[in-house]
Amino acid sequence: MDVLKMPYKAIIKMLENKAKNIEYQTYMNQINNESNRTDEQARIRKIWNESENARKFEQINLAGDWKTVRSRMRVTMSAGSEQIAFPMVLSRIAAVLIIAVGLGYGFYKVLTSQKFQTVKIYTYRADRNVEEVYMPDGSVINLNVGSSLVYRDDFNRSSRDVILEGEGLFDVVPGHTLPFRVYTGESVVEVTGTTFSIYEKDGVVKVSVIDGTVTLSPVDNSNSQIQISKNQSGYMLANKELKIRDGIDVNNLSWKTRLLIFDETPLDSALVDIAHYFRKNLSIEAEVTEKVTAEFENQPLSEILDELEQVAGLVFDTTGGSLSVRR
Amino acid sequence: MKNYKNKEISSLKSGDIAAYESLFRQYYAALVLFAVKYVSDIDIAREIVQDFFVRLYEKRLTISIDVSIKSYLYRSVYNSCINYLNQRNIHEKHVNNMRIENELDEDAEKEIMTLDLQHKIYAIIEELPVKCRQIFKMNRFEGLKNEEIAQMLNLSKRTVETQISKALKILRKRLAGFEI
Repeated sequence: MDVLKMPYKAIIKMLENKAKNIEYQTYMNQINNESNRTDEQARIRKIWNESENARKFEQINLAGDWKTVRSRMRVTMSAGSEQIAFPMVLSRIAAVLIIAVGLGYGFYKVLTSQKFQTVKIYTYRADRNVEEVYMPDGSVINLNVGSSLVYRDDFNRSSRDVILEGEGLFDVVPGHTLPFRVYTGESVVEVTGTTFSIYEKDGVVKVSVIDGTVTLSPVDNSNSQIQISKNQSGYMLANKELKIRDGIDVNNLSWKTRLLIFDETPLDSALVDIAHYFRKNLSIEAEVTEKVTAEFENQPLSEILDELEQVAGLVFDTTGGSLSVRR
Repeated sequence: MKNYKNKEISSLKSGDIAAYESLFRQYYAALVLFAVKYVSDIDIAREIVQDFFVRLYEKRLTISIDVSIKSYLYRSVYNSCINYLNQRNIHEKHVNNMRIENELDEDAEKEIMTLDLQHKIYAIIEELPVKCRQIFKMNRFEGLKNEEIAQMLNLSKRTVETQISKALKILRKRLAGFEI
């Protein structure tokens, strides 16, 4: 029988145990004549019973509670106006990540601040996969592939200093008396409790802050520094000039989330993100004007490039550590 | 390319406020009622879920969601409830047995299924025609008898019965295909 043609008044009487004997018998005869009727009856009974329990949703003020949540959310607006001279492969990295290349002055600074001969050194290296490092103070550091982290065994006692080589996402526990310092290249990032990332290449450091506030300064000149707040990105350029801008790029942490999202993104910008994700040096040898809207989740480079080849008619060469783009 | 796969997760990560509000409206009420099961206080449950939604938006770029958004939301709220209970040093026996989990246990899964159904039913009731909705709510939410409703609304008992059966028919139709 059609669900819509069922005798709902009779059914409700049954559900409320108000059916007279003759009504009950008539109804039971109907059920017996329909193979799926018993299941349907059980389904309707469930809906009827739960419709009484649905009352509890009346006590939720959805619109009011959304206003409360919305008022507490800080919405990031894309900056878009200020372009900072950054190496192509890094130009769209934002927000919460720190990358350090080279164990320079910071290495010396961290490892020699106490008696060198009595200190053990711990090194974590992410060789094949993104690695999560749990620090003695409860902070958590995610290392991108090819990155490493160094700290001393008195971390959390006399200091909270680490050296990062490569790229990392830091979730630093707050409320600690010691500042948390990350030495990377020729810069130092200092925080008390926050979430941020650092990326450094060719002398340019980019720090992106997801939560809290961090200070970025040249490692040899703490008088020159910038405060980077939540949803901002700070840069130290090769000449040690400090810059700050609002906004965090959506693909900044794709290396951790394994998700690349493009929404009407200029193809050259998308290629920058893709090259960074796969740790390739990008070389664009053709004019690229197309825009791309797509989502790639945990997909290999070859698969992504196949798709882009079809969309834009480009030719890609991924030989060695490069990603070359031609018509 | 997966342009439309995990659309909710993509919307979340994009930072689109309208999409985030839609996500909030879809899950918030059920999540609050889910949290009440653990913290036993609706105002505390509201605070926990609101805090979670604020944090989720702030951390949207760094979180890695490898399950459905629904599973992620319920699991996160469950863990937030456990954190809350631990912070409040509540040591009732049932709390001691609760741990931060990556997967929810069978009881929690059943509770989520029931809440899903109730939430869906509530949403459908809210979309019923005005008179039908009023009568159905008086019957199901306020526990009034059909005779009482008829008197209060100056209607015949038969009209009341018709409206209630109409509501049930609409619910049954709209819930076709919904796992019950």
